[in-house]
Amino acid sequence: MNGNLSTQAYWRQLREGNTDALSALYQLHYVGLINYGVKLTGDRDLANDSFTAVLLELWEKRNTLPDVTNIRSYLITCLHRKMLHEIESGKRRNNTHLQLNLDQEAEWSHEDYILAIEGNDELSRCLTKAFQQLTQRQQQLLRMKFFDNLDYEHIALECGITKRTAYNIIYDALKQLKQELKGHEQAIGLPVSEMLLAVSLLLIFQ
Amino acid sequence: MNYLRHKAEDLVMDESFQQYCSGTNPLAVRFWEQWQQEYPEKKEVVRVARLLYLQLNGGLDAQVFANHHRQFTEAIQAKGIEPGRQAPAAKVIRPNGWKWYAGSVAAALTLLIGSMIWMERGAIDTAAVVDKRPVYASKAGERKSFQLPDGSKVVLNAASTLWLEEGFNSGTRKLTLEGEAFFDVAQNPSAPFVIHTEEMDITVLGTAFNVRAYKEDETNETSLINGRVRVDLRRGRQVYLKPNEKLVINVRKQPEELQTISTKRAATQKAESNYSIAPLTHFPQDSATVELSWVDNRLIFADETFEDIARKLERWYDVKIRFNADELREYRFTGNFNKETLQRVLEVMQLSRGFNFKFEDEKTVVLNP
Repeated sequence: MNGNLSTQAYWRQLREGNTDALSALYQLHYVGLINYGVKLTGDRDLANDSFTAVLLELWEKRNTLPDVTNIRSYLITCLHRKMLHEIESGKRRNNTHLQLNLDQEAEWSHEDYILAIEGNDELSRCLTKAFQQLTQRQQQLLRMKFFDNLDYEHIALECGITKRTAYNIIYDALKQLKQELKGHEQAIGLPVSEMLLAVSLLLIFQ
Repeated sequence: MNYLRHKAEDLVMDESFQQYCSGTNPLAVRFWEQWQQEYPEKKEVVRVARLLYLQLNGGLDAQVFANHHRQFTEAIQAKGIEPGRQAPAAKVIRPNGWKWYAGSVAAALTLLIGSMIWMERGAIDTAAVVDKRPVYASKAGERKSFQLPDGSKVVLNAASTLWLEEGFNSGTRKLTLEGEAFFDVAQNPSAPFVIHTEEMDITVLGTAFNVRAYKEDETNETSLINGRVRVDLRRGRQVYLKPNEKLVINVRKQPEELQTISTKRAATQKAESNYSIAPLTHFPQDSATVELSWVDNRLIFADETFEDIARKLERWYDVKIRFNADELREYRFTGNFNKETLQRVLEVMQLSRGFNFKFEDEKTVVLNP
């Protein structure tokens, strides 16, 4: 229902010493927090280590934790500090990505996002290309919704639009991406399942 | 939620589908795997939707999550933290511990303590029974709303009782209801929310719905506002509800009453059963949902018999209503009252159908032709 409500409940349980709350907060905020770490340092595994360390520290301090209204941004602030600390203490000096985007809450450019989501395979490159053809607004909202894993309320507030508008922009952008994906797959041949279907239809109608 | 008409883009927009793709919610994973088994023709739509979502979320798929989650679990276990265990909580609430709170904590927390005190008091109210389960109860004439320990919100209608079963919120979330309640269930992937009533068990993921299970009523209902619930009936049947639907159970098994419900509301009635599924009723003026009106303190009748209405009025106003003539019981009324007195409600009802009423004393109303 209300994602924020349950996050609040887990936070309360964490303070009461319920270990399940720790796992629940990890699962609920996994996508948003890991991607925040990726945005900061480009290192997904470091993000997970740091997120885990943040939750463990919160657990240690559970008796003195403050009452937090925006738990997501509290976690993000903790993660930000943690990762800066990790980098500065030089634990992972060998990693080449690591000096990226260290300004406080730097606004992420669309290029950064595209780099982050582009994989090595043909399909991913095709989708990335299709993504670049979307408007800046569409790209921004897709990033906020799926990469940052923000809810519509938050997105609407940040962009100064209604939740309904945010939803519609994202929906239309997805429809466009889907068309591109289908076009691409038709160009390179049908996926296996459809190919089998086509073959069996051919056999039936012969 | 019925996903059969969902296109790929609709699936990508769905939160539980996202959780299935990222693997972050075991219940969502199980649901979508079963769903694909049930509807193999949907595998292609799922494939496309999954590709799209995983592209946009930066490639965090179930396998990446599983690896990370394993490292997380190992890390917390290395610290001696076992999942599902209640570790010693902060030592704060002691008889003279109240000063500790004064001034140091925000208003939100005060609210929270407020609800905890309420809970304890609720437990004492009904402590007459030797029953250690936490209890939330409302008397006739009152409605109460509160938050359960897991964050779920509940509004209790008049003369209703809710018990939390042992272990609530540590691994399971089971409760028992007598009466009527509206639930807005907090999501918790690891603990399904189950409500036991005399006639049915209701299992939910995160969702909002209303359960009516008064012992003295002829029908029991579960009305779904959104989300997904499964209802297990006493006789071993299972029913899935879609948003905006309700399940009506005819407790006393009177075939003709069932008939009226099903024909009037175009319900799909299962042969030889004592239940039916019907759409929720919306009040014509402002499309308020009749089944939920009580949550907003509104008393609504939608073409109901005087007999049914009397039972509602008894609970709503904490009175007894006596019929001095049986034909009155069959009168039907439709009405919408916002915080009116019983006197006023009955006066308005008189305008549409002639009858007389008299307050025998403060708590008893007698109805005459």
